[in-house]
Amino acid sequence: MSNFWKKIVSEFTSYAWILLVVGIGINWVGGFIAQSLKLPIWLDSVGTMIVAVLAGPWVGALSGALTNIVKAVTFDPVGAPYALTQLAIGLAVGYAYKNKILGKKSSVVQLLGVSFLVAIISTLVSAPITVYLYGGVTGGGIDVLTAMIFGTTDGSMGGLLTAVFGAELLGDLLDKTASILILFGIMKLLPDKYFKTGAASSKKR
Amino acid sequence: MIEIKNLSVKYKNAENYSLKNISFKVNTGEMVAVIGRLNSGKTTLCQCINGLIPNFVEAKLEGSVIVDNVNIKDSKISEISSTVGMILENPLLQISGYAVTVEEEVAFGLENIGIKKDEMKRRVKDALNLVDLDGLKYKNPFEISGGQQQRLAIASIIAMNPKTLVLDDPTSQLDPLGTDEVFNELKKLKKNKTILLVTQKIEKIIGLADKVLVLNNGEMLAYDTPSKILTDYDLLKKAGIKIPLVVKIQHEKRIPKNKITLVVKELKEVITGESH
Amino acid sequence: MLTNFVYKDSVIHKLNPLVKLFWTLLIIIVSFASFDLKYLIFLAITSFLIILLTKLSVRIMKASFFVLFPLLIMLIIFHGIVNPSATQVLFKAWFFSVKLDGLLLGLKYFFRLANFIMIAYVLIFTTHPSDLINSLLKIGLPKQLGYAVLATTQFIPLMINDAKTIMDAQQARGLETKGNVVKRVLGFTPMIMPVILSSIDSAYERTISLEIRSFFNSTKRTSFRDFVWKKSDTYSIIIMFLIVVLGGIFL
Repeated sequence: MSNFWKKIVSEFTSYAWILLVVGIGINWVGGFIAQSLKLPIWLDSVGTMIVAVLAGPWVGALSGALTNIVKAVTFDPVGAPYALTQLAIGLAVGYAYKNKILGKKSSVVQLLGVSFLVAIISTLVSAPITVYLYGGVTGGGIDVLTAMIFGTTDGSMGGLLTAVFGAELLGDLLDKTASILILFGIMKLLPDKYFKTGAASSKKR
Repeated sequence: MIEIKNLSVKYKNAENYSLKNISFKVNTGEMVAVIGRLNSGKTTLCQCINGLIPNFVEAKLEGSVIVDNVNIKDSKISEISSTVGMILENPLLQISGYAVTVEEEVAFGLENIGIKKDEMKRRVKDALNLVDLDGLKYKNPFEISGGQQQRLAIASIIAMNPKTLVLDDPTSQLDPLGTDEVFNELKKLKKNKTILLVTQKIEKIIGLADKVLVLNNGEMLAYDTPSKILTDYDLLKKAGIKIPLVVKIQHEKRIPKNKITLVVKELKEVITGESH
Repeated sequence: MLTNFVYKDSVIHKLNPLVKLFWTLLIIIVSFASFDLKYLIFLAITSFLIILLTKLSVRIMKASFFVLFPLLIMLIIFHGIVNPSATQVLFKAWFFSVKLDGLLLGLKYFFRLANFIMIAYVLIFTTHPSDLINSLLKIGLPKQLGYAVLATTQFIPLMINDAKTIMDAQQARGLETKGNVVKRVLGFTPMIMPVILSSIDSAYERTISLEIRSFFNSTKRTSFRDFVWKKSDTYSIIIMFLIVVLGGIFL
């Protein structure tokens, strides 16, 4: 167990911490650009994903989580619990990259597979939050879809969970597939030197 | 005091050495200007003196680097901030992002090394006074000019009281006003600090630096006083360094090397003296 | 700087950020643990009274309303109307009926959210992020985390500005910003790429300048800022605690 912990801690080099901050920024700017382009998807986890690839799954996870924390203390407190979702996304993408399923040379099948996986994981984490904390509402367009599905269930909490899960999964499939494809494009465009995560770590601290 | 002996550096995955067998000594209180063309090894040299190589940057360091009796390459970077300080090129990238006022920014490094509050406040005040930023101490570091930001970087570093300062091309991103501001600070700092300055502003070295180190392709071409090096037209040409106008004029008038002056006032006498 | 902090000379503004954080966490935890509508409304009134004390009540209530109103509508629709297991019909209108038990459930969720938002907005609008983070650092928050949050609030406005510039430049080059969805999605990458490259590039040098200032060492950090804790801060914590507990007992 302590070996696992040591591996996690070793991801957090000085450079990794700064990349973490950059990741938050990219999440934020990504969301901003998506809004400005009036896209139907959020694209606010691309930063989490990039950092998960460049610095490791746990740095990526924390980068994503802190994005929601910063948003929470500056203007959007309700988004705070969804830090868990970003955490899950960071871990999923980071470990997919570590296990070489996701990389510069991934095939279309692999990319779609990872997108699907990330979308499911993301929804699995966020749906219960929406249901048990917020009664099923998110304030977004998805709620309409959720309401429609909910009407066909038995009306219990389980039914609400199914409805929210179904609606959010749809949104997540679109968003995460687009995000993973964008991540792939970015990985191909980034020069090799950025991928040497050990390159800029302070060995003696 | 800086003592470099047989310093050679090779970056990981590089084919050649970036620095080859450099040896020189800078006495306490002296200022050395390091000049040379692009990629001649100047930044590499700076990073050896403050310990980034080999403890942060992946590179092999051979030879010895000793500053004020501290063996730099065996020290942790975070522990030598009171021995060697470094100012980088881009003022914006030296702002920590953590402080919301100029004085907090100066205090940042002191907080990290655990200086007690009273001492901290004193050092911050002194540092800000030295760089004439006391009037701006409540401003946000992002809202001041480039020259002011670079002076802020200087204040933040000297507040940690290193006896030696390394400055890696601190004015290349600044406008002429900012450049003058920084060189004014250097004049003040020279009084009680050992300074190594990498710069392209050859003219500004005159009257400021005690010694000049010329790097070319990782090798030390020359290490001597400004009056010997900056008047050496052939040396400067070989190293790809911009010839100071005052030297160019005399060279074109075929004044012999040992009579060339760097002082503009003496120019007229030297030229008219020689043409008689 | 990224913040909604508005300075006012109010009692709430003068409280230590940790007090307001404590209030926020306390009310959130208690609201989400409770299923009693009366208690939730009681907490909402408490939060509202606090908002009145901030001298920013109009601003905060406006912001809260903006967020809460759509949620209220959706909750009423979900639980009061659509929910198939709700039965006690309150009234019928057109083709749908509003059911009482569903409505009450929806209102419970609503007041949970309302409490969360109102008290969190008190924290957000009356506390400057650097004050909040510095107070947390004082009580033991790891400095890398505090730094990450603070640095983000300062760097993001710069990054957004860069993004706006790039977006304008790309538009001038004819990149699609209107037109069908696919074209717009494809336009995303060229717009975000420069931001990503420049921020990762500067990350390396920033790390160097932080290393030079000993940020990554393990020495115990001292603080330049003064940490002020007044009697009123202690009282505020105790009073809120009492309100929450007594309300819980009697309601």
